[in-house]
Amino acid sequence: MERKKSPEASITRILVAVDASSHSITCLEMAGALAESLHAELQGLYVEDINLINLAGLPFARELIYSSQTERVLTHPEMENRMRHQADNARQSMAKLAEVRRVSWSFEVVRGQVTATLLSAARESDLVIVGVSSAMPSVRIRLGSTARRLAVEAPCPVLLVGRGLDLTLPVVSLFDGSHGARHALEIAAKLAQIDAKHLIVITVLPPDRSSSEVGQELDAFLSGYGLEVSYRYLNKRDTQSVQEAISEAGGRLLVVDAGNALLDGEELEQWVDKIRCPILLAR
Amino acid sequence: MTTPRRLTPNELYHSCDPNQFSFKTTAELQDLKEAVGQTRALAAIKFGMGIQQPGYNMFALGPSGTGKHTSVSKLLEARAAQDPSPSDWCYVNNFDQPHKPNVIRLPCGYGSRLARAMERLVDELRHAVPTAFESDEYRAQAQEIEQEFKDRQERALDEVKAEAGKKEIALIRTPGGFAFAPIKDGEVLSPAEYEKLPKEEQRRLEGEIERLQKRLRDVIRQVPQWRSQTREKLKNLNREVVAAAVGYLIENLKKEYLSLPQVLNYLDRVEKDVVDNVDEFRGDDEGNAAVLQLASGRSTPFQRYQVNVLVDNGETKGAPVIYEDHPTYLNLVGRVEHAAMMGTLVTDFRLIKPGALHRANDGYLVLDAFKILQHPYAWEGLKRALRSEEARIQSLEQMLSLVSTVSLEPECIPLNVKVVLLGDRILYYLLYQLDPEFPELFKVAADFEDSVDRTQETTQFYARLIATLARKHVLRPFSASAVSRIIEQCSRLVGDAGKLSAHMRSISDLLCEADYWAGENGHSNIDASDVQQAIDGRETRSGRLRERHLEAIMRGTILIDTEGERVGAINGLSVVGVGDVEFGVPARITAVVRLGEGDVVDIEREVELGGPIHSKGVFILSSFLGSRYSPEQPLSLSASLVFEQSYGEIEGDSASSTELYALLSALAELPIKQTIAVTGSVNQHGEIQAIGGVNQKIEGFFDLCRANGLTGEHGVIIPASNVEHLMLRHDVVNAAAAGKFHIYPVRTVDQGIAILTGLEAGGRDHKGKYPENSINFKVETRLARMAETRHEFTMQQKESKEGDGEEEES
Repeated sequence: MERKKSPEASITRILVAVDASSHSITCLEMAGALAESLHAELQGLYVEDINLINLAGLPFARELIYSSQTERVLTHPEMENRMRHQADNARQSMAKLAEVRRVSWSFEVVRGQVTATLLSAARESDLVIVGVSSAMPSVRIRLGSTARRLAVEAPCPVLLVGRGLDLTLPVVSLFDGSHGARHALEIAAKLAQIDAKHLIVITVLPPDRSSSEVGQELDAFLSGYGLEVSYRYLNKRDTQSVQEAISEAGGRLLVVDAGNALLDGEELEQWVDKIRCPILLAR
Repeated sequence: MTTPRRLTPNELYHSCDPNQFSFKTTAELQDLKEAVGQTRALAAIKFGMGIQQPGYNMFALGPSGTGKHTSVSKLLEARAAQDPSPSDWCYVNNFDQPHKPNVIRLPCGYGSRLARAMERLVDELRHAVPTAFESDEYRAQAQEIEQEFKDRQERALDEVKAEAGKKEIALIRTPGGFAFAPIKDGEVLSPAEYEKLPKEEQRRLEGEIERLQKRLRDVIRQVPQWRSQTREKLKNLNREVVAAAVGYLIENLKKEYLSLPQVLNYLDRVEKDVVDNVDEFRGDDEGNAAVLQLASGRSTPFQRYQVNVLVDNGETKGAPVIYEDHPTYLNLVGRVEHAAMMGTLVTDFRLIKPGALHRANDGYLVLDAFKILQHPYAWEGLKRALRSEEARIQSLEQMLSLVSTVSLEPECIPLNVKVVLLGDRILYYLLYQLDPEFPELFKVAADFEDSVDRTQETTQFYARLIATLARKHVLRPFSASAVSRIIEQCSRLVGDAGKLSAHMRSISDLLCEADYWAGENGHSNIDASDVQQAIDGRETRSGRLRERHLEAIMRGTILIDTEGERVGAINGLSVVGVGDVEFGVPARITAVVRLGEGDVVDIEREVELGGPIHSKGVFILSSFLGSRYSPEQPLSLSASLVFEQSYGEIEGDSASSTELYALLSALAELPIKQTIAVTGSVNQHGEIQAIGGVNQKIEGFFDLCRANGLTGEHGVIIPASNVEHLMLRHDVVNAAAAGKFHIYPVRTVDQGIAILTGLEAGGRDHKGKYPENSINFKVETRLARMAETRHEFTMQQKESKEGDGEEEES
């Protein structure tokens, strides 16, 4: 089995999209942990959403506050001020984190359309970490439009962060025998090497192959990583069965090939809601 | 002069003949079932136990040590054994108002059974409830409900968003919430672009946004309501699931208590509570839940289904007879204890503890009256419980309204208890007089005798009593002679040859001490010598004061003569009592007379060392003198009386005859024999009356005379009415038998003064004159002379005053 180039070598710059949300803090923490492990550089990016700035400039701009169900008038200076504060806070958080993790870092504030700005920055990065937060208030974790577009359009791997990271849990990878899945498995193995040393491989068996056959292949593939590996084999290939198997495995991070057909289109949103850990879309 | 009567040795000591007993030792005798000579008191207790009306509680009164407790306990236990066994009482959680725990009455033995059943039920619930929630059916239903909520919320928001999209307006997330903004090609219009729009369009957009904001507001406002509805639905689903799991278990339990509606009702409430609080059973992490519960000051979920068996009569046969040795308020009425948890004190129904009233319910409660009065509010608590006929557990702070913090108010328990108080007579009389509620609540007085008549029958009973006590205290058997000696000592203890002491503690002590000496002497049975040794040993141990006093007399520090004769001086006798030691001591009483206005001065009274009864005795003397010797003219003497070398308070009138003798001696100028001491009180007619402590007084003078050497002249004059009280020491009796010491019983002053002076007192003849050379003649003559002298003195003074007046006039 042919190995691709080491993902460690390929991930040297990690881009983190930060704002003031709780997802963003989680993103930062996760980025810090990964950067430290992979000896990568952290790039923080705060996008001053041009849409919000434009909105605040409109004469009738009003904000409906969800928690208190009250309304208040939005003004341009106030919005700019608020964004500046958020950017400052994000920068301070990042500086503190980088100091603790002893990683090199940079932080940039750019005004523009959020998704386009992030996609543009992603071209210069090896991994993008983004919160899945949606514009819509919901009891579910929903995939926001920015995260969705990044997941689909970003040229590099994208880590979607909806919930926190529990480092004591194993890394989980979804394997279906495809080329992309092998690449994802390789990244997963590298990430598992960092500390947990435990990898769970959920394998969707191809119709023409037995579990022992696939198992032997995987053993050989992962033999050099020094990991404790568990295998789960699935005969069903539908999304719900796969998601249930992943949920039962209870990993800290799911590494999946971005090109996996199970994640197509609207399915991705469902994955974000159902899978109770961050999802790394490998490509 | 006629020879005064002297008492024979038999009159000095009423011995108990050992030959009247048919046994050799008390080992042959059967135990005594009832107290001897306490017929009245025991009948009162039986009456009090039998009468089933409120307020007929009992007060057993009498000195401590008379066996009240034993007698009362025996009677109560005998009666209680025939009574039905009492109920069990349990406190259970009140699920509606946890601070007011409910009480359940159960047949005896059912309390602990219910407690065990509830523990089993909780165990089963802890497994059954989570199992019910793990079923696929439940999960599917619960997910459906949650999904419904999510869908509803998202649908509503999506509708607003879609509606906005149609109008080229976007719903945008702001840092604080949401806003609507007009868009073009997916991007928000900048202010400049907006300005370029036609005014009409601007107005339209503003209107639309206003409308959309209102719509969004309406949606958002509905979300909490939808969430609440979802929770309610989930709750209902949970209730249904639990009801199915719990209902079966509780129905099974109910079958065991079909005849007990209180328990059935309780189980219904338990079922409802489990269903209402199902989340507490579902918690996977019970430890965390428990910590949270404790931190909030509540009991852990499962503890509230426990049963606090307050009174467990499962092992009780018949009605309970409870003696509360430490009758504090809380020990009587019960208490609510607190446990320290997470830095605070918390409590619940499980920490309710019973009081003596609870334990004695449907039975009898025996209390020491003095102890209950010693403890603050215990008496009030007892009375309130008896008056209200219910046991209410209330802390002192609550009772006194000192605190208003939330605490438990346990449901009251109906009370049906007979209380027997044990106490001294003074307590009974004081309570009767000072506490208006006392007569209402304690209607039966069981008055225990201090002593019983000494008859043939009681003597036999006492022998059995000694046998009973010997067995109770595991002592050697007592021989018949030892029993006789003890019975004699019982008479001595009560100071009356015709009575026997009912003071059981003193008798028990004597028996135990005699047993000790028997052991020391190597006797297998206790005989009279051991008993005598015990009596002597006790006197010796407590004899320090007596010996010091005797020593002071012997060394001449205290001046008392036991030889010769003195005018106006006489040996009186008093009793000193310190602790449980009483002994007689001689004291010199002197009288002096001079011309005066009829005053007899009691020096003790003048210096406030004489008590009122002593002063009364002295006033009687004055009255006697006046009425007998100077009925027609005023007394013209001034006399003073004093207890020489007495530095303490003197009370009682037992020396009044002695003082009179001293006074008569001083008036008649006749010496009194110092070999004889006197005791007895006197009335206005010169009759001698009985006094107390006659044995100790005689022995006190005897000891002094013996120390100085008995000559055959020594003796003591006592009131004739005290003869029946004589139980003198053997050495005194022996000296009397040998003619070396004499006891003279007298009925009148004339008899006494004759013994003391060796002259006849003399009676008035038909002319009303006393015989010449009689004592009375001398006294009367002296008084007449004094009256005359006084008259002359008065006349001279008058003339002298008149002469002075004339001179002044001239």
